[in-house]
Amino acid sequence: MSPHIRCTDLVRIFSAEGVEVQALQGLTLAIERGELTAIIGASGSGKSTLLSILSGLDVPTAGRAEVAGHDLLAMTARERTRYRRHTVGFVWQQTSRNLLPYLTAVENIATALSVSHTPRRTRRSRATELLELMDIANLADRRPAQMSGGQQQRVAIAVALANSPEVIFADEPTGELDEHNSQLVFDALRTVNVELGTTVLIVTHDQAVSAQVRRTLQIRDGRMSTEVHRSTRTDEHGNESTHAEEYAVLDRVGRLQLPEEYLRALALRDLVRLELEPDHVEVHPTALRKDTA
Amino acid sequence: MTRSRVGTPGLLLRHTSTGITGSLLVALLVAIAVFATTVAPRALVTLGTDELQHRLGELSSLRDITGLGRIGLVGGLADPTAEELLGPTDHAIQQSASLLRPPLGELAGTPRWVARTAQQDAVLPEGAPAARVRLKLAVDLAWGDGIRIVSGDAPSAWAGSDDGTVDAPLDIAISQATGEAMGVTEGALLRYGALTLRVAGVYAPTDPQDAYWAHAPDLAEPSVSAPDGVVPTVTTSAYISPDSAPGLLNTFAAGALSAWIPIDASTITYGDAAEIATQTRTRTATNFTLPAAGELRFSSRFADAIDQTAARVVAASALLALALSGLLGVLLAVVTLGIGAIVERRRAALVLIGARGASGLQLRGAMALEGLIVALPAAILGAAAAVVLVPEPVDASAWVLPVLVAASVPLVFAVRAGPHDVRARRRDLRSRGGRVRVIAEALLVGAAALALFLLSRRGLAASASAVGIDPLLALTPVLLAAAVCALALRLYPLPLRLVLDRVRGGDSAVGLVGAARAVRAPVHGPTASFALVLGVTVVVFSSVLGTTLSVGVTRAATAEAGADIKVRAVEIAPDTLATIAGLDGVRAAAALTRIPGAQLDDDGGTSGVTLVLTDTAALHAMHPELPQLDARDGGRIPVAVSDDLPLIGDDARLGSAEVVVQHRRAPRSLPGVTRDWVLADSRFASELGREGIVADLLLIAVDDADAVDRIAASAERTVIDALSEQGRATVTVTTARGVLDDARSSPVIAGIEGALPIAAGAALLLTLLALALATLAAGAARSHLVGVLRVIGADRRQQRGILVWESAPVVIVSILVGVGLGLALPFVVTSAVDLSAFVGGDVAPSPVIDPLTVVLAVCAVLVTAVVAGATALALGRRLTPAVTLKMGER
Repeated sequence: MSPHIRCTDLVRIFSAEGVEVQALQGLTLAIERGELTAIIGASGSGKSTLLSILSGLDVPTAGRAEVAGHDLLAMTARERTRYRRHTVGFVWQQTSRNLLPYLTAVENIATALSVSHTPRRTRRSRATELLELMDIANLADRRPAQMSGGQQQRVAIAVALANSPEVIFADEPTGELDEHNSQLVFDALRTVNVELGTTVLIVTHDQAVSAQVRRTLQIRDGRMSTEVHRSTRTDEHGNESTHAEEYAVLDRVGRLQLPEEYLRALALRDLVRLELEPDHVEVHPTALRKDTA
Repeated sequence: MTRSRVGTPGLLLRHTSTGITGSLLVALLVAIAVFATTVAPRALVTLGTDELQHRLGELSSLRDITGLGRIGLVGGLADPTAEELLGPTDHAIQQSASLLRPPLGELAGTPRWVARTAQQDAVLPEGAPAARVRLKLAVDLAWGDGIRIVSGDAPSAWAGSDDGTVDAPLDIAISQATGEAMGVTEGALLRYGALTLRVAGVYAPTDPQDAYWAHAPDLAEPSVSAPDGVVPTVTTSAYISPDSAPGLLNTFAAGALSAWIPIDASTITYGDAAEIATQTRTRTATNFTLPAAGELRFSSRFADAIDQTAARVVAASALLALALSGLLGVLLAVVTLGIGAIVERRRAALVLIGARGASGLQLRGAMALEGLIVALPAAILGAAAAVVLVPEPVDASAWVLPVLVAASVPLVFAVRAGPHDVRARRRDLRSRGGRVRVIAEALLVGAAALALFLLSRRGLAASASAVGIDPLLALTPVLLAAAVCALALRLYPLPLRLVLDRVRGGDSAVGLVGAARAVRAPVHGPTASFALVLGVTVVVFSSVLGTTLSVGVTRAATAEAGADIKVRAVEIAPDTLATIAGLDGVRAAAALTRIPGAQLDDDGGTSGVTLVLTDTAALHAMHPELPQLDARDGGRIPVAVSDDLPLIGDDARLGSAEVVVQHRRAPRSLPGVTRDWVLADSRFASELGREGIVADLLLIAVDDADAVDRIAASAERTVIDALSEQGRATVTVTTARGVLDDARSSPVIAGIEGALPIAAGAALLLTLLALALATLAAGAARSHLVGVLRVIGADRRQQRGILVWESAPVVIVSILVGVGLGLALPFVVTSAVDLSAFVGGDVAPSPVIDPLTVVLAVCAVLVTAVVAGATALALGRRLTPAVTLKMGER
């Protein structure tokens, strides 16, 4: 089975008056159906660009991108609309940007349902069902201004889920929240992933969030650099412990990004010496450049 | 807590009812636009009706359908009564009116007719003053209705017959004025061919102003001509009893029948005018047959008057269309700006809902629905107000424009709703719209050129019957403004880029940021610039056109009067002229002697001319374009001639006198004559063999326009005092101001002169509104900028400087282009179309520019721009940088 989300050599270039900014420089990524994945990266690393492309709001300059079988580069306007309507849902960082301020929680959900021509008689029950799933059924008739930030984000998740999407994208969903609310929102996303089987992709800065995710991808300079896989192991005493293994991403032509801290620790720069061993590759720092200079 | 809605209509209503202030403003503007477009055709028809009634009122009895012909009298009846003899004719004439179909039939009153005998001399009895009497006998079945017998009795039936016994006198009734002119009273006997007439009674019209007497003036008053030294001639008519008619069959058979159908113009409407003109022409085109071989040929000046009025009304509506369409364009641009503001406010919701999977159609549909909700009630209110205010019936085509205006609102809502983008972009980097923009602009320029070409080929009016807003005329100024505006928007970044390149090297942060913003992220969109350009254009165009028409009407009136005061009299003696020239306040006075039938010989042959003799020095003082001709030229008498005379050389002979043509002038430049004239100074009268011929036209120029009425009265008295009793009736006095007042009393001219300043004022208001809306719309971006500027430590002056850069280039360019276009448009209009039919006179008026009005308009726009900018700056400063920067965050 092919991955649920697959990007291959994705490039996105913004150009302005002769100046080009490569937001994505050949990003490759694969996420399986039903996975809960976090993407982390520094500011300007291309996280948000990637999410815009995946949610169908932006079009890549080159490369391939597929989500749930939709080729994001080849979609017609009609397909794109259907894609946004039924395939993906998303939650943005700014709580105010996810909801229309003059509509109540139920109305915000009903608007999304109205857009997809869901029959009117089922809308209220669908909204109630979603709010109950998010554990905020008591907020049904409140407007965003009457809710806390965490409550707003959970309503936003409910809105994103309105049309039963296969994938939920969340762009820094806890960025504006305190720790307690962050946890509530993350729990809500995990509930969605576990109970509905929805694929969830979270872009975040929040270590607390990424630490709870099985797979964390790091973007650097518009490319995937490393992946951390976490697993929970139970030892012979019945104690659970979380193990994290870090992987680097090797692209098609063999390029590799070493983690920042490795570079610093060994003062790796400019030229490094490689040695091929039977089962691994060694990378050695070199003082060559200084000597010749 | 509110109960949540989940139905789509309820949700749409929630969206629409958010931030309703902008919607109310747009609704108000839509109501005004629909009101204006609904009321304009109605007002034009009302104006047409007023003009028609005004003009037909001036015509008075001339508008009646009058018939001339002969009466048919059945011979061979044994002892016919008057009823038997005249009844069939009377019945037929009544039928001529009752058979007229509406709408003409509704205006027609009861026809009247009078049969008259041929004119014969009547010999007065001895003892009466010596006078020659030319008399007709008249018979009218209803003759007693409009008179009262002053003395004597009504004439009794005559027993005699004009082919047999004529012994007994035939009773007649004469008018009091006729009796006085002939010097006879009742009982007097007059010889009238073979008959003897007895004045049985003397009558007076009960209402001398009755239209009957305009059609039969000879029965009310005699016409008396009394040249000096000759026995006066009295020409008049006298009633006989209708019962006497059977005895006068032969006499009346040789006479004439006049009949008329009175037309009451007070209820005529402009909408029916064309049909009425056609009906009138149909009635007058063929002879009307009366019983016993009688017939009438009808005629009327009614139809011509209707046509002339229609031409004027059509010209007026065309002019109004020119001014009002520009105004409507500004109004629609402002509506578009308002809609843009509403859609901008909805933008966040549109983007969000679009991202959630709403199709473009759904989003545009929702916005179109909002537009409909805003526009429909407003449009209905506007149209209803217009219909109630001017309840004039108009045809269906008058609804096209209001419906289009109202329908455009949801359309603009839908168009402005997309395409939407999640992120804002720099405008100068948008490349996708580039080709579309070039094509659109090329189409616009092409359409403007085509409209101009069609207009110049066709002229101002499409057809004489069309009233209302002519689409071509309405479109031309708007298209021109749009095309010029598009070109200006294309060109105006070029100098700004130069400025930007220059300030880049310098150290002026204000100039750099301001110029960079003006080039890369202009605050005012094309709609705002269009509204500004068109608004300024309409203000300037209306004021120039208003001044042009006003001056044109005045010039035409002055040309028609010939001088400040014009006096016509049978004789204006040199003493009279000298007295009048010496009156206080008279600048110059010249008496013109007009001698028709003179001959001017030159190498090319002989021309029949009107020789005009006057004091050319005085005439020159009044009309500087007419030469002074009081000095001989090489022994010849100097003359000026109208340039319609086919002369070969300058030397010619006038009668036997040698003359030299020193000047040629336009045929109508000399008052009192229209063509083929020769002007010479009166000092050469004897050499020209024209000594002693009296002047009959006096032209007076005054120093002070306010003294015209006083001087006119003095001059009239002076002229009258010098004349004999009979001559006094010939004196008429015309003042230029009187002619002008007459012209101004025309509802159409008054309407246009009133409408143009209103159009200018309204355009100014709308321009200001457009500027205010555009400035407000840029509020968020500006607040963000002010926030950034304050964070980086810009002081107030620098902030102000950068904000000045925001509006100043666009406003200055708009004003320059608008003023240029507004000044050029009247020249285009006057060269494409002839306004002389409208203002009167023969010379087409050329545009007159009143600098004061133009400067005032420009100042008003500038002041508003400054006020709007200052308000924007103040509003921007009220927000703290933290808030504005946060707000700007996406």
